[in-house]
Amino acid sequence: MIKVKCTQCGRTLPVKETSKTDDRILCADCYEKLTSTQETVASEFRYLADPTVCGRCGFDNGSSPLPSLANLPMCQRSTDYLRNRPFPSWIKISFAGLIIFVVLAAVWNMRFFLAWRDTKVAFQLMGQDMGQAADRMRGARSRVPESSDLQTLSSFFDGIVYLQQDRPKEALASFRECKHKLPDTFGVDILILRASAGVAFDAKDYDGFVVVAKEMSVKKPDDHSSFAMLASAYACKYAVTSDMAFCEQAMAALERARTMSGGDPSFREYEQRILHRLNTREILSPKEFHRRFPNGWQQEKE
Amino acid sequence: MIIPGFLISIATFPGVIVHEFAHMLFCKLRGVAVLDVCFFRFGNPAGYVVHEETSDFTTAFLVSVGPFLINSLLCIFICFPAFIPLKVFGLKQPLSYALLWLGVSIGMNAFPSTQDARGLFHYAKKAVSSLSPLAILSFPIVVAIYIVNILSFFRVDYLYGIGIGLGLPSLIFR
Repeated sequence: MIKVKCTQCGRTLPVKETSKTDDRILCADCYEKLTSTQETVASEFRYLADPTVCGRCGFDNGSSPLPSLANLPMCQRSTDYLRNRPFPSWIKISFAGLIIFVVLAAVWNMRFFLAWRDTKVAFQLMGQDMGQAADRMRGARSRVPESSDLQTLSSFFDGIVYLQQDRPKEALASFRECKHKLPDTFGVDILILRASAGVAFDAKDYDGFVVVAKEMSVKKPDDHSSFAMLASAYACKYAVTSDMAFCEQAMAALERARTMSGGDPSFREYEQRILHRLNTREILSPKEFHRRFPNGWQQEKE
Repeated sequence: MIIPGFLISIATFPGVIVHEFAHMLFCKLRGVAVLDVCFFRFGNPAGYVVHEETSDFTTAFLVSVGPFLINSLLCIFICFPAFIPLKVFGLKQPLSYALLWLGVSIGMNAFPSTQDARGLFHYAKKAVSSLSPLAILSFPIVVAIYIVNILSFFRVDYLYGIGIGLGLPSLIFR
């Protein structure tokens, strides 16, 4: 420890207990006396550091100066401590808690992420494999059963699969669950009409079939399938009533659908069924028609 | 309405603590002496780490940018899982709100302080002139941090936290 003499009172003190001002070394008492009489002294005051005493722990290195760390004399122990300063316990506990909380939250929320991924995949599969798409959407719904959006979407996908499987009753029930819950772009109203038409056809309610098909042609006037459905409905009416007016209406609707179809192969198959119905006055379900005419039906061959 | 910075610091106190934690962590990793540390207080600044100066650019870069990396990553890890149930499926769960607050709080305190940014910019300029590869690679980040600090008057640093915590997941989880 270095000791110095107060230039004012002459006392010998450890250097760190003194201050230097106006080139004078002052003890605390003399500094107090001076600052009460000379205002300018206070602004120039600064503590003196003792290079032999550790600036952190006060370790006295005798007369040998200690190495400097951040402009402060520092013993080896303090240097080691500061270079590897431990985190306070509350920080360690808080950070461990934060990490545990984040991990648990991620695990808890994983099902939402997986449901989101299933939904994305389901929409991607929609144009390729509707069955798989509906499976993925059902998977998403089972992961997050509390989501009404997923229930609605799952019903929508199921409805389309039922329509494809020619199960209009189930399709109608599924689509009704989605009504007013999905944006117009999903076309739920149209799908409900399609399913309703199927239900009416299966129930042999051909008047109801005509009503639905007419509504369809009004709502989708640019879609050839609307007029193909209308032709089908009038063909049914002709088949059961023998009223030529229905036959003519069926042919007119079919001609319109043919013009609009632009050579769509699915329309060609549908057209064969309607022409067969008009020719034979026999109403066959799509399944029965395919069973009987696996290679298609031609008017001339009958 | 301009919200005083200290109120934002109080509202986002977990971020302040994580920021100072990251500073200290990188000081420890790089063997930089930490002279004083305050993880949170009601004042300006809300937290600080006083450390010795270093002449090594890598160390200066890591100590300054460490909180940016740690806070940003934590913000993303916390906000992303919480975002899906709330925004994608519309499930208003208290846990999601708590996680989003925590994540955004941490993200809002990601940027280095003005003092750190200035110091880092000063070091980077020197290191780039001596053709240090890390300095050259990281210079755009350093410049971006410096600019954001200049723009911190407009709370760009806070907008960054909101952006990565809420904006980024909303772009991904549509």
